[in-house]
Order: sequence, then structure tokens, then C-alpha cells
Amino acid sequence: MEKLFGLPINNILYGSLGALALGLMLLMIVALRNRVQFKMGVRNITRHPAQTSLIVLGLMLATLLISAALVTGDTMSYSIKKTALKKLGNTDIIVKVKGDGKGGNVFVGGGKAQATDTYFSEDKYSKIKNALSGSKLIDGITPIITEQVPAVSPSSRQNVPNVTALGVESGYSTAMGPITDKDEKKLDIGGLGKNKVYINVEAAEKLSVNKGDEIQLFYGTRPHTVKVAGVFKDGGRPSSGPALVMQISDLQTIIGKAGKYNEVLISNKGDEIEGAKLSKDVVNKIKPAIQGTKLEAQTVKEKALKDAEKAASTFTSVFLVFGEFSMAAGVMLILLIFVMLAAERRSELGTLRALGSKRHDILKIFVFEGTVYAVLAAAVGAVLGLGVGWGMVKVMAKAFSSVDTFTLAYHFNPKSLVISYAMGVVTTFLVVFASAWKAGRVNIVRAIQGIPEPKKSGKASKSLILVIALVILGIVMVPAGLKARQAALFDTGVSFIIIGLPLLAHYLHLSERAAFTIAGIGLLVWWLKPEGVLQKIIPSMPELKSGMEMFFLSGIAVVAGAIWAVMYNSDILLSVVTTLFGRMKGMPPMLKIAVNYPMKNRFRTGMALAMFSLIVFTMVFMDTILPAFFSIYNNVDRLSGGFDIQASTGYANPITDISQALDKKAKYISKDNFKAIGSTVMAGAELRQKGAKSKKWIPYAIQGVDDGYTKNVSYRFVMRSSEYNTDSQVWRALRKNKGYAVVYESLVPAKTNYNMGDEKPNFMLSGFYQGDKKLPDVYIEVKDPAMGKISRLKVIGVLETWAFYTYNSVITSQDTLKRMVSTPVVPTTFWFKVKNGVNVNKAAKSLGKAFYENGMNTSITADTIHQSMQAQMMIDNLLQWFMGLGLVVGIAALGVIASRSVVERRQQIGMLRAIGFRRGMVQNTFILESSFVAILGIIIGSALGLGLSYNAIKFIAKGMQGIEFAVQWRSVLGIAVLSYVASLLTTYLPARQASKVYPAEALRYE
Amino acid sequence: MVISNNGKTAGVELSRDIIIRTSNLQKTYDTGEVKVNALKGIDFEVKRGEMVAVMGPSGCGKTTLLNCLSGIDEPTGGEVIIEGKSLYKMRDGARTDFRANKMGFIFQFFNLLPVLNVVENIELPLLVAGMKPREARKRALAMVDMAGLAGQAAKRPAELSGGQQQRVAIARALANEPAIVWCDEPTGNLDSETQDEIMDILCKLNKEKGQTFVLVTHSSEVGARADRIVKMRDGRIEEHVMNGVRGCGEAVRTTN
Repeated sequence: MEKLFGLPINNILYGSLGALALGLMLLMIVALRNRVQFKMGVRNITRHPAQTSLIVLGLMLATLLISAALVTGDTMSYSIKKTALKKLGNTDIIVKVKGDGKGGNVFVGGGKAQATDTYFSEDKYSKIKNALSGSKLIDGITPIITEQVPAVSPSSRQNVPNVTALGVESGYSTAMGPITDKDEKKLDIGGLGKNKVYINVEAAEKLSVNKGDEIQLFYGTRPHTVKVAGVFKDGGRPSSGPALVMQISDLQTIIGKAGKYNEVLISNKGDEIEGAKLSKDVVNKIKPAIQGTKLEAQTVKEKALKDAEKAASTFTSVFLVFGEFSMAAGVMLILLIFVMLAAERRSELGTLRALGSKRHDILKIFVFEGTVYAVLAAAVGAVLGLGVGWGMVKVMAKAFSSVDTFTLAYHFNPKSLVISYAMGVVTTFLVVFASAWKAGRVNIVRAIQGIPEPKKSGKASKSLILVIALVILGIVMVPAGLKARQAALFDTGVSFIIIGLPLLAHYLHLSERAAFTIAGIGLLVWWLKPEGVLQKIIPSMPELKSGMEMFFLSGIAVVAGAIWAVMYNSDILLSVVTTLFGRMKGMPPMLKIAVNYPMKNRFRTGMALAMFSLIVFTMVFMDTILPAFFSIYNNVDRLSGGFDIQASTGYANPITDISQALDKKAKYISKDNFKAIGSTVMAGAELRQKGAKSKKWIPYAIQGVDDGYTKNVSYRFVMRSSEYNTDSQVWRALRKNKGYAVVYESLVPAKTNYNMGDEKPNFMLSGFYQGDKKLPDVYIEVKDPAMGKISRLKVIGVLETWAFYTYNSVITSQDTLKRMVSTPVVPTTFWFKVKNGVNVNKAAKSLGKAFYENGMNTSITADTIHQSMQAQMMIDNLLQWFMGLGLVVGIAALGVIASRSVVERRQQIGMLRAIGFRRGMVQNTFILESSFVAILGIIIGSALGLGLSYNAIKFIAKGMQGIEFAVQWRSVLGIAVLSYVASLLTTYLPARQASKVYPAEALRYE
Repeated sequence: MVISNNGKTAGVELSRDIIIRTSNLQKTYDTGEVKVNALKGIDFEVKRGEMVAVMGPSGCGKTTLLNCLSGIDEPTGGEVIIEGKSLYKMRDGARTDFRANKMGFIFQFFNLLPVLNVVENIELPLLVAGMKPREARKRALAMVDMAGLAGQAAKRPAELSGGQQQRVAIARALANEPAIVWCDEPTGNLDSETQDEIMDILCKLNKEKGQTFVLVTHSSEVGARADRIVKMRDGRIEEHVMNGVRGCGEAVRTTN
């Protein structure tokens, strides 16, 4: 992985390593000058091995999450690269006719865009070769022909509709690498006789043929028989899937293109990856040779590697963004652990202070100790993260298993390990420093005697300055957010004011409880306000742009608000709990203690509650949002446009009229099986929006649809031209009028950016937004890449996101397309809607059989949609569980608090035992105490998760009709039970320990 | 009652008046390396309604004796009989219940739960004994008044003075009307004025309610307020001193 959050990974590496090295170096200098404090700090580590292990385990969680997210990205990067390299081999640059196969990033449903004439003459190749002759930049150049052809084995009667046929020269192996069989033996292309081919293992298996067998290739209507001279395992690139290699002259004869090629492959100097770096220089050298021709040089390897990086970066970013809550909880846990540690050492620290140690000495002792923990914990976390990442990759591999051409292989870059380690140490160190600072500020006498510190008035002048600064910052951020139309800036500003004003009032006369309650409820009201309510109150309020950052911000804000409101009004909660459970036999005394203790220890309970609530919040939020999306997948018709079968053919032997063709194939399948048949075709063109700022022509494919398609398709529109009231009117207008188009929703800019993975289309419209009430007059200018002719398309509708098979498309009628491009508009994709009672599977198989010489490949739309959903669901579930890892943090926090409570309350436990608390009662009191915090966290987290997801779904539903809010009670309950049971496990041991406290001994410690 | 030499009680028929009796009570602390004989065979009786002060130098075994008598520390030998029941023949749970119903505790450092307010601290043993919450609250509020803490019921221990905190502890110890109240240095953490106040309350309760008090103390003033002083040294009872008129400091002394 080369980039993360847009920053080069090397910069992140050097930055985090620099911070780590600087910090450690400074510490070393301080340690050398303060050896006594260093020894005192470090000796604590070996003195309590069990405690050290627990602390290390607690501290490592944040690092573990970073490491796991990075390793997932590394795996993606590695696997995509590997797949790309497998397909391209040594090929770095391909010179071919402009627009050939350039469909933008349009979904497979449209098929590959057709270019004018993809062939060029031998002399053009010679010019390119001459331009590079003697160049030290390349180590190979060769012309080829690549065509997709249907192949049939007469002996086995098996057929493969899309075999990549490569016609190569004898010098191919020298330039692009050898073709080898399963024994790594090189197969000689020069020695390949006439009408002889080498086929790859995949093609051989699919056709059930071997060396010496004959196969038939279909180009046009006539079959061409060739003989298998060998089966190759490696080489024969660029190709993926079933492939065969033959002498270029043979293929030229079959396709009738004597003396012509359709690609020139160039291999740069250097290995498979390093060579790509020279691509720009090589292309510059070729430029004069191809200037003025219809050829262009595509830097395929460089692009493939960049795409791999982009995908990896996206994956890592997604996991890191969604892991933010867990990391925040991890940081809180580190703070909690060190604050507890300071509390435990309070009397020791007081004694040290009494003996003459200064505050900064105490700070140093703690920092030395904490740094050692940080160094150890980050190492454990980084390594365990690799393990967690491995598990995640295993799940992801299952999600990708339906993609034949892609295999996910676990891989990690040592850089990631170093980054997660350095980031883990630095984060832990900063938190340790902050808590150590606090630890040094003890009252010596109170610390020695174990008397609690007096409650601060909370009105220190330093705090007042902070509060005033917070309000001022908020006041500055609100107009700035409005000006920049940034929701994050605006909402954060408002939140600062909501927090700051009551706290400011506290300095005047308002009670602390009232101030924090108002601030907490204020935050909840602001962030959970119903969608669009602000615009209703202030009609001039502009719509603001928002993105994934809002998820994190809103989560933190609502959880903080809820925790303040709860912690400062604990008495209400107490009376509710006592009323509810106080009548249960034996409960009152235990309940009284179990509820009072956490509620009176605001800091630690607040922290534990925040951690627990945050994680439960994220899990419930995701658990509500995701099924809302997936529920749409159950409506197959909505996603498939109502068609049951998608069939695609190659260009080698196209079907010009499917209806007539079906009549001829009646012995295989009758036309009567189908209720509707439509066809689509992709044509390469160059597009730009009329009147848009950018005048640049963007190569992009247009999809042409026939009448059968527009009459029967059921895809819906989210925006329509004002003259059309229904979706069918739009489709009718597209059919009846020339010069009209509809576009997929992603081509329209969005005000929000919650998109974490999908790439934006190369061609985007502007001047209006998704969700706008009116579709303005928008025109797309279309340039025929071959002839340069410019035409115009009026956009009359924007297709909804669920129009699965129109992903990123610009769609017009085939008649319009024919007028705009010089390419022959021959349908390559056919859509079939079967009549009631017809078996879709059988129909699809029969179609494949009937049109095998046309290379027809059929798929059942419901299956494709289902597979897509399954893979997506698996990834999303994985994401959810990754977020759930944070639960470990919350649970660990409860365990830490419970353990600490047993030590702190030893004497009180002794007293309780003396006045009649049985052992079991002591144990249950501790369990009840943790349960109270856990259950409160679960309730707060679930309520906030449901509240925020309700708003989010309402917001999303504005642009995606059909998404509905529904509480997944079973899953929410599952999350609650899992969280609670896990928290019980960590509390059980300390609780048991408490029950074993011997009263006389406990009371002896005064 | 006849007091014999070596602190041994002899010739006493166990009557209904005797509420506490120990025979050959021993306690040895074994740290693995060192064995400390904290109690070296104590024979001891306390009459119902008696106020006994156990005194002696630090480390003589006073608190250990109190802990063994009250059932919160298991002796290594001998027997403790409270109200005719052998304390250490009971299982831990039964002994705990016995404590909850029959005993009250007052400690030097009050040992109030800091997170509970005055009335909640007082009602805790009542709830433990199984009293209904409403009834417990009523009784606890009455105890608040009894302890002279009217108007302080909603305050937390940290908001009270040491004397007030000990009053809360007394109220808590007496709330469920125990037969015996164990007091470990009840005034050890208080100034002399407050000490007198606290002792006044204890003496008054002892007199009015007839509850038995066993006090461990260093203070001779506190000892002087008891019916009897048991002096200990090196894990043995050295001397019993009967105070003739309670509170006036006169004593009937029996020595070895």
C-alpha cells in the first residue's frame, strides 16, 4: 500500500517513526540524567508481573486495531497487484486504437464498448518499433492480435463462449516472456505449425481437450478447426480466463485481417513492477510515431498498479474510519488504566513527595514506567493485529470467492507493522504523559493517609479560560461551516457553543449538575434532531455537505451528551432502579451498593460507560443501517429492471437481430418462452457537459438500448424532466425521441459523501445535485472518436441507485446512438424476461447452447444480484465485527475497574462481611455493579444507535427510495447479550476475589 | 461472678446471664516464616448487658480477641459460645447471618460507606437482615434522631465531622437491636470532647436497652466508663478490673 487517507505511506512511516525516535531519544536522555527515577519507574514492571501483563493487554488494543486495518489493505494491494500481473505479465504499455474497450467504469451489464475499427496496419507497428529502437528504456516490443472467440470441442461437445485468442509472432516469447507447460517446459511459438494452437489449462479443462485434440473457433458464422499442440500453464499474456495462443498469421487468416494487428505490447526494462515506472518516458518516445493516427499508448501496468493501491487504500481507510470508535475507546482505556495505576500508587507517591521528590520526579517515574508498557504493548498489539488481519482476510476471501479471476492472498508489508507499532507507542505515550501529569499533583498528607482528595470547586480560572475559548471557537466555526457548506465544521461549532454556554453559566450561578445536564441534553437534541427540521425553522438555511466524518462526530457527540446527562442525574436513575428491583428478595442491600458506587465515581464510570456505549452504538447503528440497504436486494425486479436473463455475445460473431436469430434456433429454445426481449450495446465516445466549466472531452462509453428494452424495463428514476410524470413516460420519450438520454445517479454530484469504496465515474455532470427537486435542462455533448462529429443528448431522467445493471451509464436509444457514432451499433447484450412457469435456469442454458457459435454467455440476474449481495454482506459483517473488536476494550475497562475496586474497597468489604454480608452477597454486589454499568452502556449505546440510524436512514431515503428504518430486534438483542455476557466474564474473577476477602484482615488495614 | 487468677473463670455455672463465653481460645498467625501466638488460651465470660473494656498495650491481642469473639476471624483453637451457640461450629454463611441478627460493630475509622448517605448507611444492616426497605428506612431515620443527627440524614460521611461519623456508625451498629455490640477503639480517632459524647451515648444505650458492649480501647477514660476492664498482655488476660460505679472511675481490682 502506497497511500493512506491521501498521504504517502512512506511519509506516515517516517512521520510516526520520527515521532517515536524523538520521544524515545528524549526519554533516554532524561533517564540517563535521572537514573534513580528511571529505576523506580521500571522496577514496578517486574514487581507485579500479573498486573504488568494485564496493563500490556489493555494498552495493546488500539495498536491491534491499527495493525489489523493496515494488514487488510496490504493484502488487498498485494492480491490486486498479483491478479493484474498475472493478466499482464511483462506488458507495461499497450498501443491500440483509441476508444477500444474504453467503457469508463461502466458495469459489466453493458458489455465492452465497441471501437470503430480496432485494427491497424503493419507499417504503424514498424514506426513505433523504430521510435524505440536502440532505447534502453524497453526490453521487448511485439505486435499481437487479441480477439474473444467462441470455442467448441467436437469430441467432448463442450463449448466455451469467450476464449481469448492471441495471435503472436515468433519473437513474442523473447519480448514478453516464455509460455511454459505444467512441467515449466518452454513451448516454442516459432515451431507452432499452421492451424496449431497452445491452449491454457483453464480452456483445456473447460473444453475437456488435451494435446492432439481438435477444437473449432467461431469467427463469423464459419467454424475454423485448429489442433491443440500443447497445454500451457503460464504465459500467453495479456489474457485472463480461458485463452489460446497461435501464430499471428493464422489468426489474421481466420478473422480476415491479413497484415494487420490490433495491439502492440511493450515491455519496459526492469522487473514486472519496477518496469512500470518507465512508462511515461516510453510513451513520450512513442508519441511522435502515433501522432495523427487513431492509435494511443495505454500505460496498462502503471494503471493496474495504481488501481491496486487505490483499492487497498480504500479498504484500509474504511476499516480505520470504522475502527475510529474502537480506537477512541482504546485511548480511553489507556487513560483509565493509568489513572487507576496512579490511584493505586497514591500513598507511595505521597511518601515519595514527603521524602523530597518533586512533582516532576513523580511525573518522570510514571512516564518511564508507562513508556516501557507502551513499548511492550504496541509490540504485542502490532503482532496480534497481524493475526486479526489474517482472520479478516479469511472472511474476505470467502466474500470474493465468486470472482474467478481474483484470489485474495494474505500479505503484510513490514512498513505497516512498523507504522502500527510506532503509532501505538506514540499514542500510548501521549496518554501516559497526560495521566502522569495528573498523578504528580497529590496532596502529600492526604495521599499518605489514604484520604480522598477534596472535591475541586470546578471553577478554576484555567478552566474558565478553556470554556471561553471553546465558546469563541464555536462562534467562529458556525459561520465558517455555513460559508464552506461543511456540515462537520458547522455542527462541531454548534456543539462547542452548546457545551460552552452552560459551563460558562456555571461560573456565574448555575449548578454543575444543571450545566452538564443542559450541555448533555443539548448535544443529544442537536445531533438527534429529525432530518430537515433546521430548514423548516430557518428556511434560508443552506444544505450542507457531509461525509463519513459525520458518523464519527455524531457518535462521539451523542455518547458524550448521553453520558453527561446520565452521570449528573444519577439519583433519578438510582430511584428508578431501586423501585424496579428493590422488592426482590435479598436485593436491596446489594443493589444499594452496586448502583451507588459507580454513580458516585463519575470519572471511571463515565469512562467505562463511554467506551461501552460507543462500541454498542456503532454496532447497533451498523446493524440497523446495513439491513435497510440489503432489504432492497430482496426486490430482485427493482435491481434487474424486470429481466430474468442477461446474455452477452462477443464481437467475433454478433447477433444483429435476436428475434430473427431465435426463430432460427427454435429447436433449442422457442421465442414463446419469453415475455420480453431487449438488447443493449456499448459504444465508445467522448463526452462533455454543455455549459460546464470543463471543456475537456472525457472518453466514456454510451449505452444504446432498443425498443424491447425501453418498453419492458422497470428501472425507476429519482429525477425526471418536468414534462414527465411517470417513469414509463421517461422510457417512452427515450424510445420515441432522438437525442434524449438518461443517466445513472452516480453521474450526478452528491452533497454528501458517505461513499467509502466505489469509484466516481470518469464523466460527471455538474450544476445540480442528487436529491434536487427539479432536474434542470442538462445536455451532454457527444464526440465520435473516429470522425470527430459532435452531437447533443438531453438528459431527461436520472436512474436510481438500485438500477443495478445501469451502473455509471449514460443511456440513449440505439437509433440515437447510430446517428452519433461511426461504430456499427450491433447489440452485444440481450435481456430476457421469461413467461410465468418457464424455468429460468433451463431457458438460460438453452440460450447458451443455441448461440454457442456467437459466444453467448448467459447469467441469471437474480443469481448475480444475490451473489453481489452475499459478497457485500460478508464484507459489511466483517466491518461490523471489526468495529465490535472495540467491545473488548469496554469489557477490559469493566474488568480493570472491578479489579481496582476490590483493592480499594478491601476495608469496606471487611465491614460488609462483619455486618452480615455473606460471601455470595459480596460477589453478587460486584457483579451487579459491573452489570449496572454494562447494561446502562448497552441501553445508552443501543438507544443512540437506533436514534441516529433512524435519522441517517430518513436522510438516505431522500435519495434512495425504498430504504426503510426497521429495528433488527434479534440482532440488537444478540449484541446486548453478547456484550453483557462478555462483561460478566471479566468481572467474575475480581468479584470472586472480593468475596474471599477475610473480614478481620481487611479491617486490620486502617 | 468469681474472677480467678491467670484470668481464668472458675466455678461459674453457665447461666442465662452469660452471653459470651470462651474456653481456651487460641489464635496463631502463621506467615510461613514466623509464627505469632496472638491469643494463648483465653477463658473469658461476659454477662448479658455488661459493658466490658478490653485494654492493654499495642500487640497484646485485644483486637484479635474481639475479632475471634465476633466471628470475623477464625481462632486456631478453643471455643467461642455466644448465646449458647458455638460460633465456630457454624458454617461461614450461618455465622454471617448470626452476626447480622445478633451483633453490631463500631470501628475506630467508622468504616462507613462513602457513597451512601447517613440514613442509607444506617439502614444497610437492616436490609441485610431482611427487613423491608420501607420499614428499614423508618427505623434508620429513628436511629438518626437517636444518634443526635437530626437533619443530617441526607449527608454523606465526607460531609460530617469525625464525631458525627462515629454517631452514624453507632446508629448503624444498633439499628437492628443486636444483643452484642463490638467496639474496636470506638473513640480512637476522636478528640477528648467528642470521645466523652460518644461514650455518653454508648453508656446510655447500654443502660437503657441492656445491650452487651465489648470495647477494645487504649483510653483509660473509656475503660473507666465500662463495668469491667479486662487487661491483656502477650495474648493472655492479665487482670480484670471491676469498676464500682460506672463512670466515676472507682474500681474493685483483682490481680494475680
